[in-house]
Amino acid sequence: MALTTQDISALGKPLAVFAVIVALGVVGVLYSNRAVKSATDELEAMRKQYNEAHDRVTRSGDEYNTIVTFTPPYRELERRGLVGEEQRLSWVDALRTANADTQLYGIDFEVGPQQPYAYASDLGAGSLSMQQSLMKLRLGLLYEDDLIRFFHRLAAQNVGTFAVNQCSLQRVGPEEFQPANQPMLKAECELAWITIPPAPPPEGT
Amino acid sequence: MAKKLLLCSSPYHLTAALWSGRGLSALRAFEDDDAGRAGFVSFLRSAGPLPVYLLADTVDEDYRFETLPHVMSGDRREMVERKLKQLYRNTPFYGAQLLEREESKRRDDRYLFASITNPEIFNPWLPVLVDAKAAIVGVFPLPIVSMTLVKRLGLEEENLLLVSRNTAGVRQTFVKSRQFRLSRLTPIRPSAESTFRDAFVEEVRNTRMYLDALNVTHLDEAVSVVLLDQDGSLEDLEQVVPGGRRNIRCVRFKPEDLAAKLGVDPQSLLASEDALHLHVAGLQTPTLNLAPPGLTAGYTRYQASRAIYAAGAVAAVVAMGWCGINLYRVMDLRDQRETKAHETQVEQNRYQQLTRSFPPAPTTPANLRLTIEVAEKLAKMSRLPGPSFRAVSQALDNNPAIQLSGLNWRFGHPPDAAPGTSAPFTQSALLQLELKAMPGDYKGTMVQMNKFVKDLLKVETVASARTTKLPVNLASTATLQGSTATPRAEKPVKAQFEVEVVLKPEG
Repeated sequence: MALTTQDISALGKPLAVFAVIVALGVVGVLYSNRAVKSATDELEAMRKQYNEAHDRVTRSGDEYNTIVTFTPPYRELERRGLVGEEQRLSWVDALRTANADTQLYGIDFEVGPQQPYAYASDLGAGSLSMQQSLMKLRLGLLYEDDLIRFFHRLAAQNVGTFAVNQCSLQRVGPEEFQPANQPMLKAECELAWITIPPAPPPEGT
Repeated sequence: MAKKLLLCSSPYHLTAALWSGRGLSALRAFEDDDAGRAGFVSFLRSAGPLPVYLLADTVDEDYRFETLPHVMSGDRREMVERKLKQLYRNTPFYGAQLLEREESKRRDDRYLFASITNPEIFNPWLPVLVDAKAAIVGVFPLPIVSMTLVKRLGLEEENLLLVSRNTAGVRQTFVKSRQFRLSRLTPIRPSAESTFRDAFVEEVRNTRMYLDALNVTHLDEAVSVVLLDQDGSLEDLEQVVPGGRRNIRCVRFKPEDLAAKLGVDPQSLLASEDALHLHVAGLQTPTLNLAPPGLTAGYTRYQASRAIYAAGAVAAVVAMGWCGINLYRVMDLRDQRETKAHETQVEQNRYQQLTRSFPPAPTTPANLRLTIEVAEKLAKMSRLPGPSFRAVSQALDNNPAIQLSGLNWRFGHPPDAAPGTSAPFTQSALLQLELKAMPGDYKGTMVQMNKFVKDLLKVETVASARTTKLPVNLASTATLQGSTATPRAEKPVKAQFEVEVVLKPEG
């Protein structure tokens, strides 16, 4: 015999009990599932930490060798101004020295604000936050080789690392008339003074 | 086995008992009077919500066999229902049971139709059950319960007369070829001249003759009479009943036999003459139910309720099992995490210990290595315009008529490289050049200019060189103007053009 509406209303209590059981069951299952996921995630995170710690122990010999091998050249880079804070005053002094050494006619310069180095990714810098400050130079030359000598002399000051991005040379005055001790060429160059800010010291030091 | 409330209703009397799954308990008898009805109400209340099995032991019963065409499912149900209504118009208590298919050619179905023709025997008790919203499973005639006894006692005689003494009287059920044929209930009231035993014996013998009269048996056919002696009151009657007749064989099941074969409590048998049939009804639900559907609605609700509770229990067990497994997993995962945390701490301590012997370092080993590598790449990558100057000087040396008036040098990715691509860094220079040529001598100018470009390309370090600006626009869409006056009268003029030169990438 099929159940009537009256029968179904008479089944209110068991249906209510059933609904409560199912609701509690669903809540319990969902809650326990979430607890399992949370515990799994925590375990995975801990395994990752362990693997990292274990790898560090395994690599400690390599790290020792790395420190021994690379600390001296790193210190040298610090001394040469690539690693560390910018040495703008030293750059200006170096410009002046290079100008005097190469017997040029004086240099106008302009240094822009520091910004991230445009070609850091080309160098595979990764976690190193390389910075650059663009310097525009205007100077007079007798011959174009004077420019090359000037750059070599500037680099020899060891006050920092720079890369020449572009240079523009224009002949000054007519070719037929060349007064002595006067610049024949006018040069405008853009340099990028590159620095690598000091990285945090290793743990435990 | 589930608990049940078993009732045996006979005129003016009701026997009630609880079925606990193994046997009867709380056996009670109620008479059809105010005290009996009140007692039954009280009994029903104390029994709680149990499925009710109501046995009917009354002379107001009818059994008949009908042969109907063999049809299936719905049609069969309709046909049987129609036949039952036709036969039993004055009672709601009727039912049918398919017995067998006949061996005849038509292979018709043979049915047993049964009814309680006087429903008033339930009058004192059914209203009480309905008021209490009892879950009535069904109404079962006592002889049909006796059929269960036949099977349980292993009685396989061809002609079997099962005789029992019940509250309503002597119940005789005839079974032929293990199938119910007829049943009689005789209320025995011994007269002054005879005892109950004499009347009992006479009634059995009369039944034997009645069977012959009905042509159910033949006179010389042996009938096995089985006396169900529940309380020992039929002792030795198995020898008396045959009375020298060869067509009667008689055996008696003593109370202990019944207890041994059916598991019935002898005390119950002593307490009520209906106890045996109640016990058998408890053991196995009779096959023929005479209750109208409206009466069993409560049982339908009871079943649905039990099913819902069972489903709830299953859901609870599944959920608890699921949660239990999850709880176990969480505990296991946390144990693993604790173990791993300890191992991590050990590794970290080991590392700390190892690093104490390291020389002081300005930064991490990884940063040290990376910084040095980047510095080396930077040193290799940096370029000065010297190679470009030398390449241009070589070409100019071979073309003294051409003067360099300006040069724009740059180093970096090619300007036409797609963003995001790793095109190699190149040096390039845009040369602003001029040469002296006679006005209108475009061909001579072009020849010198092309020679200069070719000389540039001959320089080993040059990858490409091309003219980007001509001294005169030779495009068909532009205007070309000049003079063809006598060349000797004219003076040379400066023809300006531009060449872009790109150097090969250096290793």
